[in-house]
Amino acid sequence: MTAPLSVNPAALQTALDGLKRRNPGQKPLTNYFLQRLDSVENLRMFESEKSLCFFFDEWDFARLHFYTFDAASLATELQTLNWPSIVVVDWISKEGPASADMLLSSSGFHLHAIYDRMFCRNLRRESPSTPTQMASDNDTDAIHYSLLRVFDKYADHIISVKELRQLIGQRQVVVTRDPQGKIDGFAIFPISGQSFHFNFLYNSGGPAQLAHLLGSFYGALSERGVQSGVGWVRRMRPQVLRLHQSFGWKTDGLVDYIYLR
Amino acid sequence: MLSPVSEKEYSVDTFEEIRTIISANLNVPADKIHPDSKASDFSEWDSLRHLVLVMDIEQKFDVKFSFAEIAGFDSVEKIVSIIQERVKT
Repeated sequence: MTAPLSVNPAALQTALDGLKRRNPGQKPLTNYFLQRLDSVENLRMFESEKSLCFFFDEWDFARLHFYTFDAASLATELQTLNWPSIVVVDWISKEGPASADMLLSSSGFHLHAIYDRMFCRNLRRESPSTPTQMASDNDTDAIHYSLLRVFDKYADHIISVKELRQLIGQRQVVVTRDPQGKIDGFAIFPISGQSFHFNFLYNSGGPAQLAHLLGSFYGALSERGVQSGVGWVRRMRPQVLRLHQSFGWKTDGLVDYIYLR
Repeated sequence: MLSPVSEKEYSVDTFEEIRTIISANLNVPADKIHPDSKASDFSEWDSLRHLVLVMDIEQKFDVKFSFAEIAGFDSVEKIVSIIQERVKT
């Protein structure tokens, strides 16, 4: 394993192509599925004959991706790394965490959280409620503060302020407010065509406010002809899964195992 | 044993069905749930359970509520009343 090397996404792709050329016809073990890297911070990589790992920074941790044709060797190589102080790895699989455990446990990683993927192909149709309250640009900081306070930054892939502002501008964030006008709930739902990604749902305003929030949320989706969605729900919160299941969402067996070091 | 209900008449069957759903969702004994019970009487009746039990009631009675109606269900009586109204129509 060589010393960490700062790279840009294009150089990383070149290194990855080289790794694949050196190991033709073999099946890799990887948690990198061509996620966009063009706006990540402090991208750097480590490379060996059979493996390539790269990190980038998020909040106060580094996210690790790996691509290897020899997991046993990589497990050994990882033990010699000079690690960032906190490192997060997502391992997404329908076949359990055994491969990731084998690779990561000897380097001090532990399983931090498990998320089940859920989907809905026939969203509840809802007339837009009155009033559907879309978030405004002025709400950006308050919503983002709640994201970081309420959600798990290591596991929930919390969006940046810039991304949140963009979604608010695209009317893909609804809110509820308490009588003083303070935000007490929000739903964030990036839309892509006729589908959306159910990123974040937060409510601190009680049953009626949650009903209003979901009314705004499903109403906004109906209004735009969105018919299906996908999202992840933390396994330790079965009541949240139960809520979504009651609206027709189902899990599909794909699981995100999140490791922390 | 049902609590006595004054002034308003309820279909015992409708109430019993709803009581069963509420009891199962809140994990409280059915005999603690009365027609005049309010959501605020039960610490277990939180936001998530509220939505889930209303969805269960929708499914049981094959009705659909608006979210504005769901937001207004703050008592067993309101739920029973609207169900009876919907089932009539």
